[in-house]
Parts: sequence; structure tokens; C-alpha cells
Amino acid sequence: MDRSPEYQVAFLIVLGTAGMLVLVVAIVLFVIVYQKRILQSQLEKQQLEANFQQKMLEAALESQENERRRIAADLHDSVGAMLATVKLGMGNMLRSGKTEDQDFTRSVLDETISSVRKISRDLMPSTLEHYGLSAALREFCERLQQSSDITFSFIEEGEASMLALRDSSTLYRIVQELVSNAVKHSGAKVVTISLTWKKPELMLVVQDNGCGFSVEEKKKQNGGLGLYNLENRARVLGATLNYNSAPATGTRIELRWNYEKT
Amino acid sequence: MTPELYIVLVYIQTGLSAFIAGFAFWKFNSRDQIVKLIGLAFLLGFLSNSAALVMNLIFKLNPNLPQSIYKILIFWVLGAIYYHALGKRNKLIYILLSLAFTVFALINLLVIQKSQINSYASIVTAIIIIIYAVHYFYRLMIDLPTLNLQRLPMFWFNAAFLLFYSGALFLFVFTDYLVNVLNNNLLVYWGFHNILNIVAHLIMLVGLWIDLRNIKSPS
Repeated sequence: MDRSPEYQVAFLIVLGTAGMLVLVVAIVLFVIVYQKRILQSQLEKQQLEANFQQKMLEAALESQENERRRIAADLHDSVGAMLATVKLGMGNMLRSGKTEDQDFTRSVLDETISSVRKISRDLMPSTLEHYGLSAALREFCERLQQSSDITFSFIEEGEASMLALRDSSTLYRIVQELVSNAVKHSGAKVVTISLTWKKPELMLVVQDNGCGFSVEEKKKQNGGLGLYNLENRARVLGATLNYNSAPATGTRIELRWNYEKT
Repeated sequence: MTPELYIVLVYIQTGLSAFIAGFAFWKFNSRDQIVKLIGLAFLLGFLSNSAALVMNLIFKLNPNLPQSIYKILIFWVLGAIYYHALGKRNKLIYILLSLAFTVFALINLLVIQKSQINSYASIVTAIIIIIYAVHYFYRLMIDLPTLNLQRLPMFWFNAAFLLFYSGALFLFVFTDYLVNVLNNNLLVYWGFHNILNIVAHLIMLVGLWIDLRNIKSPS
């Protein structure tokens, strides 16, 4: 009888102590395992971020190099060749003094000036700077329509806002890249560019009825730098890009951007 | 548990305390502040154990006084350790807590439990240290200082404190009952307390060894 409370106390002490020790071991193990997991997932995230940044940088550099190559080719093939012809024409003109030679030289000079203007417009269209994105895209479509069998159309909805040149230039380049891809790769007959203003959001859609593509496959090919370049531009802007394409179903690429956030 | 075995455990515990103090103070200048404080804590432990042994075995006096004083001093040292370990934040809280504990412990020593085992002070110490220790583990998961926690000396020190104070808490709570009712059988419980203390000392040694290794080959 006297020992019963002693046993109860002994039991309490043993149970309490054992419980506390088990708790301690559990806490220590939990901390070790959980902390390691958190750190590992952070490291993986950092690695993914670093890889993505690397891809973006490569895409930006390649884009720069492509642009330079294109300008160099344009200058060499059109302007350079034309100026060489002008030089020849002037030589003939000085020797012969004939009116036909003068007319010929003048027409080649005109063509050269026209080429230089085209190259300059492709680099930075003055319409974009002076009249905004809508006017620049409309003009872009009209120019393409004149020199191609593909039907280009530009549709605008909503009330346009004037954007900063830097932002409208980025959007213009994205459209240029998308249209260029559609013309080069899709075999499309119709390309539509639509610009919808729904304050505070702007939606830009480039759609074609071409052969379509698999976004995942494209990203794997040649490092997928073209798509990374597009995503890079959109990211800098703070916009989101959505691809809707599959082989033989055409392509619809949608950009959404909150232009009042900037 | 015989009295002889109990005394052997006390000797082992005292010896380990001295060893830990020496190990912590070795290469003093290149040691972290926390390690130096660990050394101080175990030096105080060694001194209080030695004083208790001398008073009890040689002079046949009540050995509780050095232990009671030790409890007050160790609270300050442990507070300083956790203050440094938790990023030197909220200094005032640690100071106020230590002051409050000191007042409580002195009142307990002079008025309440007097020359008996001052278990109330032990209970308060245990609860506070458990809170400090759990808080430190929580901070480890927030701050994420390293991938391998096992290479952090304070991880081991903290584990040792948590193990000892959690394991001994229930003993402290029932000390009065054990002393007054189980006079002849309380050695079993205090023997367990000493074994727990020795295990904590060994974990502490692991932490000190890792600290020394980190000094020799920092990674």
C-alpha cells in the first residue's frame, strides 16, 4: 500500500523522462533532415535560375550577332553593290557624256538611297518613334504585304495608349521575330497581328495558319535560342508569353502585358 | 545503484567537466566566443562538483551550497552562450531573464528550500534552457547557415543541453518527493541523472572536436 505512490511516481518519472528523450531525438532528427531538404531545394532552384540566365544571355548575344550579320549582308549585297554600279555608271558618264548613262546612274542612286532607308527603317522605324506602336505595326504589315505572297493583316481593338519608346520598341521586335519565324518556318498563307488595348492590359497576338510546331521540341533544337530570345524580351518587359501551337494546327502566340505597372 | 557506483559516476562526470574545460580553452585565441563560454560553463561545473565532493566526503558537510551557487552562475553563462548563438539579438531579454532568475534563486536558497537540494531553481533553469535550445533549432531552419549541420559545433552543444535538461526535467520536478520519501532509493534516479550528464558531456566533446577541426581546416 505504501509503495503504490512510489511506483506511481517512479512510473511518472520514467515515462516523463523517456518521453522527453524521445522528443529530443525526434527534434534533432527533424532539424537535420528538414534543413538539408530546404537547402538542397534552394540550391536546385539557384542552379535552374543560373541555367536560365545563361540561356537568356546566349540568346541575347546570338540575336545581336544575327542582327549585325543581317546589316552587314544588307550593306554588302544591296548598298555596296549599288554604289559599285553607281561608280561604274559615273565613269561611263564622264567618258561618254550620254544622257542614258546619266539617267541610269541617277536611277541606281535612287535605288541605293531607297535601300539605305529600308535598312534604317528595319533597324529602328521612325513611325514607331513618332506615331507609336499601332502605326508602326500597321506600316510593318503593309510593307510585308507588298513584298510577299502571304496575307498580312493588322487588327486593333480598344483605345491605344502612348507607350515609352523602349517598351514599344521591345514589343515591335517581338512581333518582328514572331512574323519572321512564321514566314521562314511555318509555310503559312495568312499571318494576323492583333493588338487589343484593355486598360491596364495590352494583348498582342501573332497568329498564322501554318504547319505549327512543338514548343518543347523547338526549345531542345539548337539550344532553342530563338524562343529563349523571345522570352528574354518579354521578361525584360514584365510581360507573359503563351504559345498555342502543335504540328499541322497553326500557331497562336499571345503576349499579355500590364503597361500601367511600368 | 550502490553509493560507491554513484560516487564513481560523480568522479567521471567531474573529470569530464575538467577535460571539456581544458579542451575548450586549448588554442584559446583562435576559439569562438561560444566555445570559450562552454569552457567557462564546464569549469564552473568542475569547481562546483569538486567543492561538493570535498565538503561531503572530507568535511561531512551539506554539499548543496556550491551546487546552488553554481545554478545561478551557469544560468548567466548559458544565457550568454545562446545570446551569441542566436545572432546577438535581444540582449536586454537575456539580461532581464538572468537577473530575474538570480533573484528567484537567491530567495529560494535563503528562504524557500534553503539547504535542501534547490530543485525549484533547477526546474526553472531546465525549462528556460529547453526553450533556448528549441528556439536555436528553429533559427537553424530559418537561417540555413550550412548544408551539413553536423559540422556546426553549436548544433552539438545545443543537442547536449537539450538532451540533458529535457531528460532531467522530470527528475527535478519530483526531487522533493524523491528526497523526502525515497531516501534509500533515490540514488537510482540521481545515478540516471549523472549518466545523462555524462552522455551530454560526450556530445559536448564531439562539438568541441568539430570546432577544432574547423579551425585546422576551414571549409
